[in-house]
Amino acid sequence: MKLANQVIDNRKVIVVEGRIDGNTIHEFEEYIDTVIDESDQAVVLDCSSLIYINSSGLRRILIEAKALWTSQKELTLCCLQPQVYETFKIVGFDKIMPIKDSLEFD
Amino acid sequence: MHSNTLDSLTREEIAEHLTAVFDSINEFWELTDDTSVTEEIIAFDGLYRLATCSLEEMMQVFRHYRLFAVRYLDDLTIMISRLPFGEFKAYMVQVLYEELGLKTSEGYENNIVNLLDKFLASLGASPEIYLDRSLEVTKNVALLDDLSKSLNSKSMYYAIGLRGVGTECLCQVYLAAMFELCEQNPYFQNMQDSLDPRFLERYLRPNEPQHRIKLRDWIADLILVDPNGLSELKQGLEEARVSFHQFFDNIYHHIDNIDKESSLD
Repeated sequence: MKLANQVIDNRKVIVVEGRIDGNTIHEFEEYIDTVIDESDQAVVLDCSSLIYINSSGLRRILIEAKALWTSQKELTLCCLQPQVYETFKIVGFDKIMPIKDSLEFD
Repeated sequence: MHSNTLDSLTREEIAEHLTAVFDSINEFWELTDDTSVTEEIIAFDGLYRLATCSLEEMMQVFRHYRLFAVRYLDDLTIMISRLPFGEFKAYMVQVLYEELGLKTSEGYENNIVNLLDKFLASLGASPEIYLDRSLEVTKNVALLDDLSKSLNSKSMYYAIGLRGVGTECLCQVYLAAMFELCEQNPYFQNMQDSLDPRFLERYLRPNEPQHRIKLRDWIADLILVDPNGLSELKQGLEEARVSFHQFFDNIYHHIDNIDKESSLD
């Protein structure tokens, strides 16, 4: 798994590549937590190169999204591969957080 | 709760529901870890006699454990048949393949039952005794028959809890306890150089962490789609736990009855 972040259009974009699974979950949790803590912007999770996410990864995203909601900010999921989109949809994430096809925001 | 039924809820309510599902999955893994720890104590407690018993009694314990080794392979096959098509199923087929010895250069000869037989023979047991089905502990035959039936008739989650999570968690705990106690036994110590070590080597090596990580991810994937499966998963694990106790209790009652009968002769 590779992780990176950048600011695009005043949004913190976190790029996740590879698999979020039992082997990589702690690294992902620590990274996303630190980046979001240090940022006062809305957050976008760029999942264009994410190929698998386990339940712990989903749980961490939910925790971060809920924390952002308390300060009126959103966590947006972006550019999901079909199999990952299916996972988010089955669980119901499509009903609680924005899912976008691209990094272009209006 | 299925994704469609979330439509009537607010975003916060859905988030709370999902948090509860994720927490339940985590709690289940904590329960599994706790089970390993408490079962280790129970296994040592239940099998303590191995540290001081005669070689004959030790042979009897392993000889009757053999029934579980044979039936576990059958049960694993049933459990695999219950899994949905996908990576989890393919991986469990590989596990079965390994148990059948087919991943090694020696092939089928290296299957787990054969390795146990070789260990039993090196302990001094005669094949006529451990291969004779009429000498099995009848209560254990019935117990394992019932579990195999449940594997087929109850839900897939129960089957995973029983023979995926349960056996994975408990089998090594019991075998480790058996061998640790045997190693304290003076008769066993005297024989150690002549014992066939392959069964011990196969089962006493620690489980690969990758195995557990993969298994947990795949099971959680299934639970996320159907959170109701979690209670059945727990039920399967609990049944695995209780049946291990029962299985070894039955072996000891059987051995004690043989002793009583021979002392009456």
